[in-house]
Amino acid sequence: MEDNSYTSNKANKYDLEALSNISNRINKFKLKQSDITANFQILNRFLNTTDNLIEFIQKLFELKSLKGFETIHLFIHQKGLTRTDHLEVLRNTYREYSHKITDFSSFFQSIKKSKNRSFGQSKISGFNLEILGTFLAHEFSLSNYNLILIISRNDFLPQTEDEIRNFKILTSTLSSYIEIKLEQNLVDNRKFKLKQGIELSPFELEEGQGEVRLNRKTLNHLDHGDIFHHERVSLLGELLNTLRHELSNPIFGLELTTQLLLLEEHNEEQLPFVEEIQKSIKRSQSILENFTHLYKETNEFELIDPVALINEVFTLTKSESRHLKKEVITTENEFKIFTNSTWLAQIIFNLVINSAQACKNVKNAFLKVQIDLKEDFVNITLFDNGPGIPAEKQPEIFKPFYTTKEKGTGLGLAICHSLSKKLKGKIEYLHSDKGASFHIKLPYENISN
Amino acid sequence: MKILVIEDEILIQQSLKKLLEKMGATVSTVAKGSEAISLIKSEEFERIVCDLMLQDITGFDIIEDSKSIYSSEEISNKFIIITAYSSDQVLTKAREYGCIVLNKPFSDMKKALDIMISGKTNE
Repeated sequence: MEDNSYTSNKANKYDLEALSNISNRINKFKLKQSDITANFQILNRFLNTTDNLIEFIQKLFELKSLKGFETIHLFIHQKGLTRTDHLEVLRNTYREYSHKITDFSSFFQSIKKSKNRSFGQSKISGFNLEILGTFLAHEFSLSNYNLILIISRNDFLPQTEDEIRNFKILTSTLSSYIEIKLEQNLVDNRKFKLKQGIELSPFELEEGQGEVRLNRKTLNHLDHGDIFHHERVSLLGELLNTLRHELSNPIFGLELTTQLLLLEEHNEEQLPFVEEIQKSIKRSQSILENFTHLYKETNEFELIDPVALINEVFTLTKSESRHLKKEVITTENEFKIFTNSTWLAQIIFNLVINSAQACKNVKNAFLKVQIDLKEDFVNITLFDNGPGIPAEKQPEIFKPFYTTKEKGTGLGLAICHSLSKKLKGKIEYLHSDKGASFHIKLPYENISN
Repeated sequence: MKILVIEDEILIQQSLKKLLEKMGATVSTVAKGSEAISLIKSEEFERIVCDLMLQDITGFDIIEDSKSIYSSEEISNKFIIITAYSSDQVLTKAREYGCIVLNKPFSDMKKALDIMISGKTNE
């Protein structure tokens, strides 16, 4: 039943005013609703077409409600942390800052208390915002984050009614989107770290039925060898680096002074001494340099001369292996292999030390290291004339913590095993009547110069 | 030509002084960074050969301080950094100042001295 009293000719001025007020309010409401719906649609599109939070915020400049605005600031405080991240997003660039939580909190509170969200510069405390003039701000309390959003035209004019209204509409819908993008960032970070962890894992992984699992056998022998190895490697790396630098300076000083002494007038008696000093200095420098090549804390492969590397390792083991006559045998002409020098050196080092300890009471003890190239492989075989390893123990020797020494850690061969795999090769024990024999097989690429 | 050598390894410091003097330069030497800073402010040097790792401060600190009297162009022309540390971080930082970096020990002594006198490498 229609009540036409408001539209009848009897309607008086007062009624007409009331009608137009109501009609305006209805229109405004409709506008607001359709604005909000449109906003959702647009923000959904932004959400799906951007990869991260910064891209999403930059997309907001495409909104009509941000026409004329130049800068968006987003302060993000992850609950529980003492710092606040701060994104300053312009139409074409962005900058990231970090702030203390105390500045953020007081700012957050003052925005919360504000009614029309419109601020002049005097309201900023503790932040260097570089915003000229007035800005609109809104605070959000999400489950894991507190946020402050600021938009500014970078001028001194106060905000118009429309701008304030549009900002309110925008912020009423924006918080969930920001929350989604923040969570997306977190998930992406975690995915990346997990992927890294899998790639760098010393453990064998097997894939099956859409999942990746640790190999059963590996789980049972958690490769402690490798973990300890990594820890020792870092400390060793630091020590070597410091030693090298500390030594290289005084040695260089000696070299320079000696050169000067030779340039100046000298008597004939002193000359041979000065020359001997020079020789010792050169030897010291070459030792430092060799060990620098031997030890590089990197996962990278490079071309190295394996014969030179093995001889350098022999020098390193001198104190433990004086009684062991060591030599490298090869029928190949000088060649290089593509490998990681540190890992290979560590393997040879462990094997030489083992040999030296096993042959402690052997007369005329020797260790021969044979290198040859066969098709696509480098074969490095180490054999000594010690007691060897009895058959029943052979399957156990590469397992972590297996040792026959009183003071052994049982990690040496386990480390060799894990490093051989990292070198994309393998190591095995060869049966022999005459002593222990280890065979390392590495891939060989004939990279001709 | 007036050169300042800032180096705390005395043998290196004195040897460089003698060698550069043989090439005709007038050389002052300091071992402490703090002394280097005062000397740079009070005297005009054409070249400053500066070690990075000093006992009290680093060579970079000295360069930063000298920004109060030298322009960045002067800094990249005057300062020659010598160091035993050849890490990427060090090289990058030195490049920011535009300075030549010579690694100790010098593989070619004569070339190193020429660079110190001329202020230029031939690369």
